[in-house]
Order: sequence, then C-alpha cells, then structure tokens
Amino acid sequence: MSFSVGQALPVLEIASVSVEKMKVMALLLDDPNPIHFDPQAVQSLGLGNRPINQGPNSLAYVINMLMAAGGEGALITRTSVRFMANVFARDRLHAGGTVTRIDGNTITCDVWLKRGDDVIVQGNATIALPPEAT
Amino acid sequence: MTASYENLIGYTLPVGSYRVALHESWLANDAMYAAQSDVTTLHPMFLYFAAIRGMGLTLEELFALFGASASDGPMLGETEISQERSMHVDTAYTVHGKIADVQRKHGARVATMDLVTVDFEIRLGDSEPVGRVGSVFVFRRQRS
Repeated sequence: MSFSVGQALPVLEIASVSVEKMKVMALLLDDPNPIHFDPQAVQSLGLGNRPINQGPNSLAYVINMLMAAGGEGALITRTSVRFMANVFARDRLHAGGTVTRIDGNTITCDVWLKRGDDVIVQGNATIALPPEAT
Repeated sequence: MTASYENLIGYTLPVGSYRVALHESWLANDAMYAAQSDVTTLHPMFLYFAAIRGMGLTLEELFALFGASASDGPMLGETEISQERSMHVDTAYTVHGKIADVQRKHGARVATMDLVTVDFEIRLGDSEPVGRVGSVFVFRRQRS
C-alpha cells in the first residue's frame, strides 16, 4: 500500500462487539471490573444495561486497522488516544484514520473509532514501514 | 468530599515481570478481533497488557491506592503506547511503573473525578527498553 498526506486509511468494521470476548479479556488482564461482564453492575453504576468493552479492546480495533494499512513488517511505534465514550456489547463500530505526515518510512495518522457518527476513540498514531515498503 | 491523592505523585510501583504463553497470545488476538497470522509475535496491545499484568500490583491494589475498587467502575480515559521493538511469546519482560500525575476535576453536571496518570516502562529482561505506556485512569468520586 502506498501513502499520501490526506489519504484515508481503509476502514475496519467490528460488526458486533461480543461480550464473550470481553470476558476472555477480563481473564487475560486479570481485570476485576464487573462492568465488563456483569450487566447488573453496569446498571447499578448508572452506566446503561449492557456490559462495557475494555478500553484496551476498543484501542485494539484502531491498532488492527493500522496494522492492516501498514502491512507485513510494519511496526506501530506510537499510539496516543482519548476514550470519549463507552463501547457496549453488541455495538457496531468502525475504525479508520487519515495520513497527516510522511517522513521517510514513518507514517503519522489521525485515528478514530466510531459508533455511527459518535466518536468513541480519537487520537493519532505512527507507523514505521519496512524499508522495502517505500 | 473524598481525600486528595496528590501525595502519591512520584510513587514508584513495585517492579514486576511479565511473560506470555502462546495460547494467551492466540486468545488475546481472538478477543481483540485481530489477525492470527503470527501468534509468536505479540500484538502491540501487549505492551499495555504487560503494564497492567506486570506492574507489581494487581489492578485492585492499584485502585486501592486511590481509595477505589473495581466495583466503583474505574475507567481508562487516555493512553499512549510507544513501541521500540516487537514483543514475543515465552520471553521475560520487566515492568517499571510510577504514578506520574493526579488531578481532581469538578464539573457542574458530572461527578467529581480523579484523573490518575501512571507511566510504565517495559524492558526485555531488565535491560533493553521495549516500550512505554502512559495511562490515565478515571475514578468517579461523587455526583454533584
């Protein structure tokens, strides 16, 4: 894939966020926060009625999009994001970005994760491409 | 009003260690909807996982430093991940962490919150830097 400033990166879709995957992540992270697996805990905190995705899971979707754009051998050297809203079980999401700078083999992008028009995650990232990619 | 935790700025977390088995890499990729093309090389999010699992405290112990528990529903507000080299399965990493900042935020329509920034450095063994993670945890204190 070649890159140019202003170029939109290919959008990645998560068709439906699975609560079962949140449960696996809770175990892998040893994360005791019940909002990721217990709908009653979410309700009692006034945060809705569906389990809430781990922030790192939501960020992972953005990084997956960047890895797909960078191709084999690319390294995501920096990712900086803010979490603007919660992702709930069964949400449909899209991750994307725009190239803002190219410096040799290094591509800098604005990145986002959206639910419809709502921005869930927003920030920027840098991809180091393998030398043969440019 | 809840206690102030600014005195914890600069607090160094116990040094911890982290190692990932092959099946954990596969399961994490599956949980993140990531490709399974090379599960021996860890997904970039494993820098964050190394910070959380290897910081020398459990998450519950970290929350307790700030008078909170997992049942309070603390959130991740921001994070920055910098990676110098790839991480791999069955490799020993060391995690160094410290409390970098504590800020109390008051809003007219939202709960009072403490924003706690924790900085981590992940090293191969205990020498070569692999990457850094900075995370801002959000602790809701009360409804105004």
